[in-house]
Amino acid sequence: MAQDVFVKAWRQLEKFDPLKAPFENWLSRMATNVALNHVRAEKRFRDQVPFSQLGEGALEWLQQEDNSAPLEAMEAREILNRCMVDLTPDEQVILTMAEIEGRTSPEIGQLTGKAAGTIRVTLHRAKKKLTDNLIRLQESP
Amino acid sequence: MKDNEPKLEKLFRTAREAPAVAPPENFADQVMSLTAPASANNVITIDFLLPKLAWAATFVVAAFLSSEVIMYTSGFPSLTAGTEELASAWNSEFNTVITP
Repeated sequence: MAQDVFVKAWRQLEKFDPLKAPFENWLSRMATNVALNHVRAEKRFRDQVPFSQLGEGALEWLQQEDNSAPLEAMEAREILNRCMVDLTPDEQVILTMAEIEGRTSPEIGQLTGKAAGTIRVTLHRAKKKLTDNLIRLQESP
Repeated sequence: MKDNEPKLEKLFRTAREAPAVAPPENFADQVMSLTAPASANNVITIDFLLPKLAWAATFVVAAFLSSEVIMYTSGFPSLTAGTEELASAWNSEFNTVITP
């Protein structure tokens, strides 16, 4: 995906206007579009990851009542990926930008071209779905 | 949502700590090989070299012309005259006919 972004950037370099936006924003926006297209394409083929396919550490942490059990970063990503399966591509990208990359709403707006209100609503809906999916995952046998 | 919020927050917090994926060592080469097809590469090379060749040719022609003018004005035999002189010397020495 990163390769796609750089190839696309190279081919469209003539369209870059430094007066409109800094290079970093221009490239990040391109990366966002490539990521969205990738999620859309992948969504059609991706099956739900069964509960049993989660790693041992992730399973243990899910079954704990509290947060005291240790959790590896990669295990957290594994659980999040599992819970994000039925989120729309926009929800996935906005949630990742906000909660994992730590970007602010204006930044996300700049990268996705969406209004602040839309981002807020999408983020709220995405978190709700994620929480429901997390509960379902914990309750599944 | 409230009940699971701390767990979700912990998930986000921990996921943030995951190391970023490092690109392979030849990543730049891979990208460049996809961006520059061979034919485009040749055109770029010719585009780059042609002006330099043109300037080099202009310099050589100008150098010959100026040397001709300088030699002519200083009373030295010009390059053409010098060539004719050399040809006649060669002819008289080896008894052959060379046309300059």
